[in-house]
Amino acid sequence: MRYILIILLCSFSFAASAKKVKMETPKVELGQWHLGLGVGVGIAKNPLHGGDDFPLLLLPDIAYYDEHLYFDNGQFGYTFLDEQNHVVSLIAEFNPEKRFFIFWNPSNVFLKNTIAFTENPEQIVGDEKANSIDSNDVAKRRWALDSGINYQYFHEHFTARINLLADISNAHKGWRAGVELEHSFNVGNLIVQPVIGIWHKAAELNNYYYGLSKRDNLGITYELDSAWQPYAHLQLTYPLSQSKAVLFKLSYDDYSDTSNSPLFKYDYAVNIFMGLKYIF
Amino acid sequence: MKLTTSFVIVFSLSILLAQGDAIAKNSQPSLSVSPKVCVLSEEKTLCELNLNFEWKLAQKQDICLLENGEQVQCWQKTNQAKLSYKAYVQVETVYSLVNQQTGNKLAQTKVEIQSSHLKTQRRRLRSPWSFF
Repeated sequence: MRYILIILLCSFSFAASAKKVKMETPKVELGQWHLGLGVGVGIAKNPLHGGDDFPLLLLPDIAYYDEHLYFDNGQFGYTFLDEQNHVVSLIAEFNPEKRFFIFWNPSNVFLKNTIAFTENPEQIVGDEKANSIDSNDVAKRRWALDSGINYQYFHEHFTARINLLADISNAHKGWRAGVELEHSFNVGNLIVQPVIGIWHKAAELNNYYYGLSKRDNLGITYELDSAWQPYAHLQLTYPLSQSKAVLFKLSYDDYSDTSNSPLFKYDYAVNIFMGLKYIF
Repeated sequence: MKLTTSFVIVFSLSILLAQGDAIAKNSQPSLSVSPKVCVLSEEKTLCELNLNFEWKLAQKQDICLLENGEQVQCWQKTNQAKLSYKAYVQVETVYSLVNQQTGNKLAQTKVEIQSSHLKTQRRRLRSPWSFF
């Protein structure tokens, strides 16, 4: 699966060496809901033992922006500085690690296994039989609400983002800091948008979700340290009309710094989606 | 190959590339305008601006400066010039430097208009379709 990361990194380096064209940042109308829906096939792979993969058949895109307040795909924000190149906002969002502990039982709702992934046994972490804990057998992990500062720098060729977030819901009681770079360029009519970034996550956060302690009642203790989590995303959009386009999304989140935990089956999380997008 | 040899090769190539880039930059046509942005106050619908243009080319040519495709001024066999120009601008206006004979566009810049009271749009701060 590392080849996915390589493909994504190559697309970014290709973007960096491609002819420099001014990047068009998407704009939204103030005071109006922006609603889009992707319909297609895809899957969100769960890296944990016993974790359900989530079939991505519908992909929403929901945003609402006021002059200062905004909601954008699960993130609430209040922008208090909005200049030509610099934007600073206070933000709040649910910590995404919880998604691996949701048990969808999707076969009742969706057609499970519509996409077959070839699983490479070499990439299973450790000795699976002796050293694996099913994520269904551990204590419940809560949704944590993280809040903090988001800074964005808009360069004419890229956008850079820095996030500093801490738990305000008393769930994991930790923090995370991240930096990412987004680029956008055209190959003919195809819009190519690669993103690369890295999170640094505190030991408290990693231990809350992926550590094992008394609360799990398994007689095993496993403690994690703070960890780095690099990621790369790629989005390809081929517009068919003003409101319709073919959409392809691929994302790779690297968990190799936390995957020594017995909960991990794979040291990465991959999402892939391909379909038609409609903007209402 | 020894590490020091590799280092010398990489270092030399870097210098060559940097010099090539610098030469390419010097030979590129340039057109700049100041100011680049006009902020409309609540009472005004039009910006009255004293624009200062400066342009430079590698070779002497017959050149025209255009405002949204309309001629502002032309120069004969010139490779650089400065111009002060009074402009009345209501919307984003593009200024371009065009070869008079061939019509080729050599450089371009623009003056943006921002309204202090009529903000109807803003930049999206997250990548679209970022739920997953």
